[in-house]
Amino acid sequence: MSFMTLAHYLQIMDRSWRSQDGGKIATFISVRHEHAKYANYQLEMPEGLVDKFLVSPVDELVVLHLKCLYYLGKEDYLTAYQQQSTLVQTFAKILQAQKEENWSLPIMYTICSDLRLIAQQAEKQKVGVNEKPGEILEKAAECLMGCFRVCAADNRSGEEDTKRIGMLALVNQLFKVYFRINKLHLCKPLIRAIESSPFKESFSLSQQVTYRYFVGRKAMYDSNYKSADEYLTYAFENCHKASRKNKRLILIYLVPVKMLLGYIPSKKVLEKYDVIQFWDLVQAVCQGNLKLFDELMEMHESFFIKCGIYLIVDKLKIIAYRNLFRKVYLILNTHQIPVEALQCALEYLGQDVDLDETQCIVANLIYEGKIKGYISHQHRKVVVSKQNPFPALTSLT
Amino acid sequence: MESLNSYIVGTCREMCPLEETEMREKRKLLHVLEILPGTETDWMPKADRSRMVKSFSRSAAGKAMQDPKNLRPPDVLLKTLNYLLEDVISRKDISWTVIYDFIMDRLRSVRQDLVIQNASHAYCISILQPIVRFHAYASYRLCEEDINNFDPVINSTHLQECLKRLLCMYDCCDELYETCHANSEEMNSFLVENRPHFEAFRTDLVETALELSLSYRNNNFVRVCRIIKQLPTLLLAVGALYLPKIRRNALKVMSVAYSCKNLVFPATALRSLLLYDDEEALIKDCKYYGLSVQERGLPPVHQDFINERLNNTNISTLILFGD
Repeated sequence: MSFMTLAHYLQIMDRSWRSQDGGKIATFISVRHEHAKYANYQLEMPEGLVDKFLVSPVDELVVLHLKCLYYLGKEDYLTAYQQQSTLVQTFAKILQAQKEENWSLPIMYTICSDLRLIAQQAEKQKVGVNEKPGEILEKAAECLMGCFRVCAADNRSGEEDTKRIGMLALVNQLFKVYFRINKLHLCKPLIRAIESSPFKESFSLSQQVTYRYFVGRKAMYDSNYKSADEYLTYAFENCHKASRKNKRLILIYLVPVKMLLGYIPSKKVLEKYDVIQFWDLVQAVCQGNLKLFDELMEMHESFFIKCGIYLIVDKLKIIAYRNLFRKVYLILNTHQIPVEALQCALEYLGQDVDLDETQCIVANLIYEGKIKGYISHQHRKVVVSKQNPFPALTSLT
Repeated sequence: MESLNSYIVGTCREMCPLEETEMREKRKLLHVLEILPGTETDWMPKADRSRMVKSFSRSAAGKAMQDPKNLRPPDVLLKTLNYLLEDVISRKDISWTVIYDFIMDRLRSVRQDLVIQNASHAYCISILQPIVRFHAYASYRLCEEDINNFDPVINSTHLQECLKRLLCMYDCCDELYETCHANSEEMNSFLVENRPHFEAFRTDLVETALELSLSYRNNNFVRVCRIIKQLPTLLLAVGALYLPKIRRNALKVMSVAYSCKNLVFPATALRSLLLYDDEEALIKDCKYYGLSVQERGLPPVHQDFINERLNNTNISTLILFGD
């Protein structure tokens, strides 16, 4: 079994390079394309053959690509990574030398995401002693930065053929690396570069969706929930409806952010995108059922941690407190709620708190404007406002 | 690439290579703690061979970092560590900031030698653990010091760096070294203090630290203070460094939540809630913040209840072997 003959493949490459068909070369230089699976492409020393068909500089790229395939076939991901890394660096030089043209950008997109994927594999394979986790991915990021600099520095070309249009795809690749190796602080300069770019609106929609997904997540980690909501909502609404997996990913972050801002997701949406784990949580928060809340936190702990939302979901507990206290207020039907009553409700729901801690929880709610009123320590009473003591969460800024 | 799996093994049996001893003697770069007694006032002080310790220097172009005779093998590093944390640390005749600077620099060079030789996990762990404890202890002991004498940020950078390495080590070998667990919980809880690390081993202390961290995030100051009080000595000391921040947030929230013309909050209750030594300290803080809480916080200060516990502990033992 084989794909097409190597000679045929090389001829296609030659023709595409001459006709500046970036898209075609991108397809045929991808390690994810069908040809990559066939043994006749996996060559340790392809130089001789390649030189017969191809001229500089594309010959070098193809040689490195075939070598990379060779090591991938052997499942030696570290060496494969090194080949691919050289490939990207070589390409960056070629790209830099191409003035006033940007037809080769699709090649960059493909080899850069291949680089990241191979780096991830190499990272998994690495078992050595003393090795730092994330080291290979970090190197890959440096390599991607090389391309990014070439693109960002291209400020002489006209709008039609500027390489700066390639920046966002690289930024997205870099985001993927930085989020994986937990180096979020490195995202800031990238975000600044994109936000100040004159081509901000001309990047392709799919890239914009990816970009907003990551920027939204970063805003969430920075406790900047309003802007997290904005970015993630854009991503969710503009993500292609066939990309259910991506829509689901966006929802995993959008749901807790929205809930923190006082919006409740519908069961239908949660079911549709297979994030029904959140439904019980929604119930627990709305009812102020802290016992259920604690149980859910424990039950879904590894899911929440894996997605990196454990801390923000934990914050929803504050909303649950508010809802519970509101219930106590409605039951007692008084503006002077004894702290004992609140503590009693908390204890009933399995919370190990005394009067002081109950007061502390209430104090925080008052400070955040979620309860209107004040606490009297002498009388151990929470005195709430006669008008709208528990304002709607969505009305808070 | 050729030397991917081959690392140099040091041959230096002293705490300081001969070459460096001679060089520093000649250039008058000896530390007070390294000078041969009796020659301190000489024009050219002599080196005390038995007390010389290799100092830290950055790797730079043209410098041979890999000469085996300038590298100390792991067992010598362990000896050096013990010398620093048992003998030097307990010197009473020299100011503690000087001792700190000396030990910090020399421990850094211990770490450097460790990395160059790619020492085994067992050695790395047994050397890094006391280093972490040392930096933790120093952060409390020197918290009232002037910035010129002690930089808390640099100290904490070193602390975090060692911790990170230590955690990677634990990840690699938690099956191999069951015995490390007892100590590792304490190390993990250091980290948890700043940022929950969930893959950490689930033990009681880690569980407590996790709870502390989450309560801190949600500004549940009552619970935070209660947990801090129950921590083992060294962690208690580190926790105390967060007290000014905790108190500031608490006072900020309370000044809003308890604000009513006719009502007051008793100082005695507040004092015990926020772990103040006495009411005077509490009143001082309140005055500092005035009615509206200022943005800039107060620097950490020593707490009597912690000092008492520290004074009853042997510092060397605490740092070398943990609580």
